[in-house]
Amino acid sequence: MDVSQYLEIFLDETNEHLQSLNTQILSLERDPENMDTINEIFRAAHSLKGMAGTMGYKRMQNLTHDMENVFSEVRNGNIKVNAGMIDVLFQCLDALEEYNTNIRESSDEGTNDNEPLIKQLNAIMNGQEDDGSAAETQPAAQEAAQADAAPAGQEGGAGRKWLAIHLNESVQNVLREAVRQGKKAYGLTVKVQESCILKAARAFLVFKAIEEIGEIIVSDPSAQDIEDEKFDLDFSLVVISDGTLEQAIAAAKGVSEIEEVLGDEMDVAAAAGIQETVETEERKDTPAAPAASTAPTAGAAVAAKKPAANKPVVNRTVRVDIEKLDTLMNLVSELIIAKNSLVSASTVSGTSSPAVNEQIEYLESVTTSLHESVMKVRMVPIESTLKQFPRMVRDLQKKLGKKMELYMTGEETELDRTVVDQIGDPLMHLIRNSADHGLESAEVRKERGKPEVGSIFLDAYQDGNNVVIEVRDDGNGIDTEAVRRKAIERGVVTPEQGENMSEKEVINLLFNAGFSTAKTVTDVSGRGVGLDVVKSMIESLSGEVEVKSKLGEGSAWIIRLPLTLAIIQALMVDIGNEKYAISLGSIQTIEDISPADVKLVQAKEVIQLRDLVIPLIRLSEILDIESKKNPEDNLVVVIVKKGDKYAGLVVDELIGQQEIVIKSLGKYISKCKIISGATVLGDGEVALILDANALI
Amino acid sequence: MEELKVVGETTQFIVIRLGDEQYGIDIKYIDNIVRMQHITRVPKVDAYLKGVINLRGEVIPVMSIRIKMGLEPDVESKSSRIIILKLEQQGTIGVIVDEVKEVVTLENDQIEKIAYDSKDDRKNFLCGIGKCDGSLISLLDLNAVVLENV
Repeated sequence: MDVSQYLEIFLDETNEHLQSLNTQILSLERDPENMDTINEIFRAAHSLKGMAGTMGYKRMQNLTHDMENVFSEVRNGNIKVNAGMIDVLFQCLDALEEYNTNIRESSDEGTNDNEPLIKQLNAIMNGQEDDGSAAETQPAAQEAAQADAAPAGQEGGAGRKWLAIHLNESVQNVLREAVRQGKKAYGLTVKVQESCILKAARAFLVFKAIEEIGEIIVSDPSAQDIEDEKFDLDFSLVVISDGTLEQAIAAAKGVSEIEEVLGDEMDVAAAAGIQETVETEERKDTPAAPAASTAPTAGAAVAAKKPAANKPVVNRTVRVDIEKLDTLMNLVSELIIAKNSLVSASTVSGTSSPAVNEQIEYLESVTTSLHESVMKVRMVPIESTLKQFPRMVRDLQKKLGKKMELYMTGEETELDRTVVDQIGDPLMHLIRNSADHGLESAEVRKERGKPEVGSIFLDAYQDGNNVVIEVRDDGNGIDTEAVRRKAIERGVVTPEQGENMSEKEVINLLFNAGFSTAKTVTDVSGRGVGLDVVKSMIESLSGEVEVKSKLGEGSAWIIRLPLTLAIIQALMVDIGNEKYAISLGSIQTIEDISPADVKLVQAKEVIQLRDLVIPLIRLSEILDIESKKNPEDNLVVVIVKKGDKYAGLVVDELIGQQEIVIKSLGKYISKCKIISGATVLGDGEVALILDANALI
Repeated sequence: MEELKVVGETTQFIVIRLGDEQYGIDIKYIDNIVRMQHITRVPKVDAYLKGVINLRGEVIPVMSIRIKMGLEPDVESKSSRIIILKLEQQGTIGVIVDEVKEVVTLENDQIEKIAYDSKDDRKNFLCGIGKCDGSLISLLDLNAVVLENV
C-alpha cells in the first residue's frame, strides 16, 4: 500500500495524540488513581501504535507498544503509577515527538531504537523498578537517548556545525599554506531566520560579505546547493582571512535576516584530527549512508549527516475556508477579464509598440499561471467522497441479500472542491442502482455461470480536460425491451415512437423523471427519483452522463466532469453579427470545407473526413442568425467531439483562442440548452458559450 | 398584493412610462437603473427575453415588459432605460422601460386594488391602481411580470 498520501494526516493526528498524551499524563501525575485518565492514555497510545504500524514505522510502533503494555497493566491494577514511571513516560513522549519530527522532515522515522526507554518500560512492567534505581537509570538513559537522538552534527557543541565539514587533503593543504602566510582560518556556522523567504539570496549576501574580507575555502552544503536553496536553516563555511574572527562574524551578521553566526578560529593542525573523529562518529551514527562520506566531491565533500538538508517531505498545510478560495477565484476571474480588456484596448488604439505587447504577453502568462495555481489550490482528491462507498455496499449487501464487492480505483484523482462535494449523491445513486437493479441474486448468477459474488467497479481517471468517473457492474445490464414496454405503458412515449427508438434512445429514457423499471419498489432504489436527479445534478456541474449496457453482461455509467468550472480556454467564433465561444476542450479540429464536399444523407448534411462521416450543424440556422457568408464560399467547420460522436459546426469566421470566464446566465434563462453560459469580453460585451455537447 | 398590506402607511414607487401609460414599480425591488446598452441576444428563448447584458462584470438577463404584456415591441430611444430588479425567486433581472419619470409616495388609501380578471391579460400583471395628483398609475405586480410563461 502506498501510504505517502496519508503522511500529512498521520503527522497531524500523531501530533494531536501526543498533545493529548502530554496533558493526560500530566493530570495522571496529579491524580494517579483516575481511571478515566488511564483509559484515555491507553486509548491514545493504542491509536498511535496502530497508526505507526500502518505507516510502517516499526520503531515508533515498538515504543508505543511497550507504553501500551504498561498502561494495560496499570489499567488492570497490577502496577501502580509512581513518579518514576511518569518521568519515563514523558521521555517516551519526547522520543515519539522526535520520531514525528524526523518523519516530517524526511518521511523516515530515523534509526533511534530508544532501547533504554523500552528497557525501562519493560522494567516497570515486570515490577522491578523502584524509585532508587529509576533515579539512577534515568539520567543515563536520557544521555544515551540524546546522544542517539541527535545525529545532527552537534558534537562540537551548540550549533557549531562547521566542525563537521569534511576537509579533504587539498583543502587541508590550502589551509596550512594560508596559516604559513600568516592568515587565519575560521570556521563559521551561519543560521538564517526561520521566517526568511529567500534563504539562497541571504546566503549569497553572506558569501559576498565574507569574500570581501577573506576567502571561502569550503562550504557545507556546497555553494551550488546553497544557491539552489538545498539547505535547511544554516550553512557552514571555512574561511581564510587576514582579518579577525570578529570581523568575519560581523560581516556575516551584517546581512539582514541572519539569526546568528557562530565561529571560531580553526586550529588547522587539529583540523585533520577532528576530521577523523567526525568520520568515525559518522560511521557509528549513520551506517546507512556511508556513501555520503566516501564520495568526496572536489573541494566540497559535504558530510551532510543530517538528512534535513533535503527539503522537508511534508509541507505544512493551512486549512482555508472555501469561501475565501471562491473570493480568490472571482478576483482571478476579474483579473483575466481586465487583462482581456487591456489586450483589446491595445489593439484598438493602435499602440502596438513592441514594449507594450511584450508586457501584455508577460501579463498573460502570469494570469494564466495564477489561474492554474488557484485552480490547483481548489483541487482535492475525490477520495474523500468515495470512502463512504465500501461501507455503503457492505450495508446494501445485507439489505438486499445479494453478494457483491466494490472495487475502486483512481481515488487520488483530483477535482474542483465544489464538484467533489456534490458528486457524492449522484454516485451513490448509481452504485445503489447497480446493486439493486444491475446485480442479480446469487442463485441467478450461479445459473448464468457468473461468479456468485457480483462486482461493482468505480473507476475515476483524468482524460484531457475532463475527469471521468465510471460506475460499472457485471450484472444483468439494461433490458431495453422492458424499458421500452414500460415507457409505452407509462405514456412517456407513444407505441409508434417506442417501436422506432434505437437501443441508445431507449436507454436514455431511463433519465426521464418518474421512470423506474424495478418490479418491486424497495427502499434502496426504485422510487423512480434516481436517474433523472443524477442527470440533472451532473449537468448542473457542467458534466454529462452516458450509459453503456449489454444485456446479461452488465452496464456502465460514465460520468464526465470538467476539471474546472470557472475559467476555460475557448475558441471565439463569429456567426452573423454575433460572437460565440466554444470550449476548446470539446474541439477536435477546424476544417476548411468546400461546399461541393457537403453530401446529403437522409436529407441531412454530412461531410467525410478521414474515414469518418460527420454530420454538419449550421449554427446560423440553430441560433436563428443570418449568416454573412456567401453560400459558395468554403465553409469553416469546427469539429467537436462528444464521447465517440462527432459533429461539424459551421461558423462564419474564427476570431481566435481566448481564456474566458464562465458566468451563469442565471436561473431565469435556463431554457436554452445549447448555451451553457456567458462570458464578458474585453470590450465589456457579453458573448454566449455554446455547449457543443448539447448540439450533438 | 400582500406586500402592500404589510408595508403599512406608505409605499414608494418609481413611475415609468411604457407607450402612453404610466406604471409604478415598488421601489424595494429596484437595484439599479441603467442606460440602454447593447443586449446580447440569447437564441431559442421566449421572445420577451431580450438577452443578457454585462452589469459590472455580472451577466444579467433582460426582458421586455412590453412584449410580455402583449404591447408593441420596444422602440429604443434616448430615454429608454433598463431597470435592474432584485427578486427573491428569480434573482437579478433587467426590464426595459421607455422612460423613468419620477418617484412617488403613495399612502395605502391611495391604492385601489383591482379584481383578478382572467379575460384581461394585461390586468393580471397589475396589483393595483395608484391615484396621484389626479393621474392614475398602474402598479405592476412584478412577480407576475417576471414569471416565466409555461
